[in-house]
Amino acid sequence: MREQPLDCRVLTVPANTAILDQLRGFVSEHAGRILSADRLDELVLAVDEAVANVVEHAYTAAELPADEQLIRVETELYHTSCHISVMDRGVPFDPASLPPVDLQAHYRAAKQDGLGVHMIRQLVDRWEYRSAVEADGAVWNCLTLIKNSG
Amino acid sequence: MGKLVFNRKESDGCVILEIGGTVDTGAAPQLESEMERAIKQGNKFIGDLAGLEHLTSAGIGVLIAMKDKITSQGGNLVLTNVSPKIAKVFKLLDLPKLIQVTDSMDAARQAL
Repeated sequence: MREQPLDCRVLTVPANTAILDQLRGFVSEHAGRILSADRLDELVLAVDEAVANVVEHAYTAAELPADEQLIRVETELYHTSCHISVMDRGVPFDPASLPPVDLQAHYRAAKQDGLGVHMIRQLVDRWEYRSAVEADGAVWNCLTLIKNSG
Repeated sequence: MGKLVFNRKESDGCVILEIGGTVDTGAAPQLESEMERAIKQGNKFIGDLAGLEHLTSAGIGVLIAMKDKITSQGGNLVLTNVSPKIAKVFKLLDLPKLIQVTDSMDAARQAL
């Protein structure tokens, strides 16, 4: 039987960069209840990178009205881990589809972006990607970042 | 967590770029335009990161681009006063192999 979370919270915000500070605060407040300061910093940075990817890429090609271009962040606290799901209704993107980054080759090519997924992979203990269909038929892309408490 | 704080000052023949607050995807374009302006004069630059609280890959991308630009102008950029939190981010991206990081302002001056 799957362990029941100790606590869950949800925050839904417009997909733009102005909400990043609010999201960092939301994740810090909740995940900080079970994670050490160092682990919390790592998780907050991973969430920041995941949300930035959604803001920059998910909705640019999606045919959704601006007021439906949302990001939903769900936090689930367990005894020994914290799960943060970053959800959007834009263009699906599975981070597993990206090959590992060769940093030195990346820098030689003078690329300024494309390091977010590389960072996420190193900052969390595990991640999962799936599509979630809501009762109203809406499909959400869902990237869950999992950080253990120790 | 504060927004981007950016100051430029000159000292002992070096241009000191103070970068503080938060540099995320939202603030990275502002950092880029501030640095573009700041690096037009001088060729020895020290990035003083003492006040930097939060840095994402977008901000690191700007630092790398500016380092490339300064180097192509015949100059150099050295970073200093990096907190343990920010140093961890640098390490994730092997940044010290690309941009020299020193422990103090004096060491940064000597490195230039």
